[in-house]
Amino acid sequence: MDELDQALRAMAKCEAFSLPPAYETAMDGLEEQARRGTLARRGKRRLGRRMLLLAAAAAVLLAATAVSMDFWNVRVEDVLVGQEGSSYRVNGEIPVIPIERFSDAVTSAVAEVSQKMAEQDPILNSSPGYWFRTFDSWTDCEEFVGFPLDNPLELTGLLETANYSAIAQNAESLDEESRRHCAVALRGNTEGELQHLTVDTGYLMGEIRIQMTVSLYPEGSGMEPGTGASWNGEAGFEVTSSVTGGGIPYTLVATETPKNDYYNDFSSADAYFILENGLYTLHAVSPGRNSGADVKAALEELLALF
Amino acid sequence: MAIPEQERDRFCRVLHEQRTSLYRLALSITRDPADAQEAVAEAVCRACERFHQLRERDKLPQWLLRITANESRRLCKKRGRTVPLETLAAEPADPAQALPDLSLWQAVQSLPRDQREAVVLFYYEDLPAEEIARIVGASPGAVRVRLSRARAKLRELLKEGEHG
Repeated sequence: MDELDQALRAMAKCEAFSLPPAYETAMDGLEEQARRGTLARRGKRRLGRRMLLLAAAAAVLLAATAVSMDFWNVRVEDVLVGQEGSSYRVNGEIPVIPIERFSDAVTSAVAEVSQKMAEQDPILNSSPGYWFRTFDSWTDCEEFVGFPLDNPLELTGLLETANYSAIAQNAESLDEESRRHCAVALRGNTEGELQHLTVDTGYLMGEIRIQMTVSLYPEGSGMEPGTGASWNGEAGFEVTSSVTGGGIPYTLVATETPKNDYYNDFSSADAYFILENGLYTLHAVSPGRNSGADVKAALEELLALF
Repeated sequence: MAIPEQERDRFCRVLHEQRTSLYRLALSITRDPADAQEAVAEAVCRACERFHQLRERDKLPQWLLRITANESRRLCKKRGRTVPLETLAAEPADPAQALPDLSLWQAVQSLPRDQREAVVLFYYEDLPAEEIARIVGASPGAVRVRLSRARAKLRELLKEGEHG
């Protein structure tokens, strides 16, 4: 976190924010009803015909995915498609990593997180416990984490190195910290236990931005494993499964992005697979809603390297 | 389905602690105090109804934020069809009007909706990008891009405010 972030967080903490009296009164009433167990929804919404049809299509898709789950070991679930929003979750047999495999640097970071959590006001900070650092190289990330993380993208000539969010590292909008190639984010708890760790890195394949995220779950983690995606508006998901060059099963979701003002004009696809240590996500984005086939082809080319 | 009796006190305590956070998030999305209140109220009702679906009880605060964000967006969508023209003309907020004494909250109002959400959750709620991603329903990478863009804009606005 840079100085500006710290300054903005300090500003946010100092700013007075008064709640409308009517809101306070309404919330008092809701809390009382919740305490008595009498709180109920204020009228059910009905789903439109179009949404019902899409939900039915999603159910078919889910059924198909469930059948193949045992083999593909990564499953797309909770698929929802509707005019208001579309989303899916990805889950699978994600390996759990013995805590002793993580480096001392990770242990120190978690201890730091735990100490900060103890010092923070839980009311002002609804989700402390987070730690983030950027690194110049994948090797530096591996060293920090404590064990190797398979990443053939580092060796291929197909890609140009980008920052961890897959933005060109010379982009003027990036500060020094944001130009770095990789990032590690971890979450700890008040007991000083690591809950989750992710490693992000980014590349460019011509106009296509590629971001890879590796999610690692230590033994004893209380976090729900998995990942997912969600869109405002009605998206189309095309789910396919195959195997990487090394025979690792993957699931690829090509997304037809919703046509609304909320999104820029782009195409997107995500591939999910599990390697020895964790859940890998390859996220590809390309300009133009008609470039979906290019994005998918790019991901397939890269998946052949794993 | 109501919240189990043994969980109700905790639910109410978390809800009480989260009042400001939920309202601020809803307001950042809807930009309308009445809509923000309605979105939070609806979110609380939904949370009660679906409490049994919450698998990680310690994630209740984030879960409430997520439902509130969804309800706020849903309300925006609904209101979008009927919003009066005079209201539209007042948006987007013009931060220059607030200069030179620009607060962060005022500056945030000039950002696009996806960036407002991310900024509120990152700077006001201290949430990491990954958690924000779960709440707003985007990838962590997309959240970081939104924050990066918002940061650049906020830097510019606050600098203008200083030199106003």
